[in-house]
Amino acid sequence: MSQHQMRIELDSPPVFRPSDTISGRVEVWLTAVEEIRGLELVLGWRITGKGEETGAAEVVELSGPGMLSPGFKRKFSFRAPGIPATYQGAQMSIQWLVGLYLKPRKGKEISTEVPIVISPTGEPLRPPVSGSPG
Amino acid sequence: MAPTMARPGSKPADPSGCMYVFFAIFAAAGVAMLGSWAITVAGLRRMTDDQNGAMVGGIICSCVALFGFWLAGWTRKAAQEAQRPTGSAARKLPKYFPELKKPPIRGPSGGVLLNPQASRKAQLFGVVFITLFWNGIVSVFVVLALKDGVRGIHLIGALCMTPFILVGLLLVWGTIHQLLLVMRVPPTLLEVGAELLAPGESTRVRLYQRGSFPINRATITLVYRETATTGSGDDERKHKHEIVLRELADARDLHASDDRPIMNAELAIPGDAMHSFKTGRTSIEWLLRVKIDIPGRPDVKEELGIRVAAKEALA
Repeated sequence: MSQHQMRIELDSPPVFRPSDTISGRVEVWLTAVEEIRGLELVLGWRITGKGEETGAAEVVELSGPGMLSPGFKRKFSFRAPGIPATYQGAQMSIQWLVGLYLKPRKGKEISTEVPIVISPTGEPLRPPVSGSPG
Repeated sequence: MAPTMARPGSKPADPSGCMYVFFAIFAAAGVAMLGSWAITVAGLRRMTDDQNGAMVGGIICSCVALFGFWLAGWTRKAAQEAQRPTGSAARKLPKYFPELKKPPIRGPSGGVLLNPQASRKAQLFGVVFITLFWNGIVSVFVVLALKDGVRGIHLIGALCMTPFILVGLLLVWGTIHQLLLVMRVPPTLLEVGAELLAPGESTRVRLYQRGSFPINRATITLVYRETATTGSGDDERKHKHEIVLRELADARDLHASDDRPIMNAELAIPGDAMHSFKTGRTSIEWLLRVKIDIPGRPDVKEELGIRVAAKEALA
């Protein structure tokens, strides 16, 4: 079985405000040229805690079905969406991530994810406190 | 032949009103047939060959009515959807930001009237349906148990039935309460200067209670609520976490009025607030909870949503 290594490198610290540019590069090292079903880069979010949902703001197909060369490199750039913001709630959290997903022709999907924060304050938003202005 | 395209600005037809009336006839027929069958089962009338037919007919009519009401509701929603502005007039909302179910209506002071999560009439329709459904099923067992008179009732059977009968009575009480609310309490309106607010922004809130009667106490409370659904099917559970943020207004000894607000308050959203959020199974809501204690009439308890989002998120 071939050993694959994948990496996502961001150009800046992983904290963004809505409309900021999220840019970086992805690298995939294969031991040999390999046939794949696809290679996708996703800017998405995931709800954790008491919630089981995910959403994708952008999906970029870096490679469709075919042969992938051993040293695959590609730059990427996304615009940070405003909704939803990264959130740490009382019973659920919303986490943003940049994910790279490789689907080999045979075998399981291989993935790597980099968590990021997208928020107007630069920090995960939290529920308001009882008695706060309102 | 010219293509049948809607003229710009024209309103599409909404036949849902006629559909409600048409299917209400089926509902009435269904209730009549099932009632006739129940009376026969209770032994108040001699059983005839037609009674089984009445039961089947009643069930079919009820099912047709239910399907018809659903279809009418769907038609109304589709017609409202078609009336939404398109093109440059439409503001494009980002995904996962809650959209308004109904277009905003101007209030008496020129602001926006907030829509309650469910109207009083819709709540009445819901509680009547549940009450009829529950008590309809329970009544069959009660009638069968009473067939041989009160002395023929088994103790264990009576104990098993008691909780179901109590729930049925509670539903009847709820129906009466909701009916009185619809009939005896004129509309309660909550008007805000702006329905869509950014963190750090504030707006004026005005509470109107139509009619002319004394009010013991009225309150407006700002509430933040997380809702998440986990599991599916029988294991599906809804988790709610609510934070009561602040009582915006609390006043006693008021008087309902058709043209003046009974309360005024300032609503401010904290600068670092989380925005409103809605997916199929998760939501984050900002709500205004209104409670009005009226002597001699049912109390008003309503929740009305406002939407919070950073301006740059909506741009």
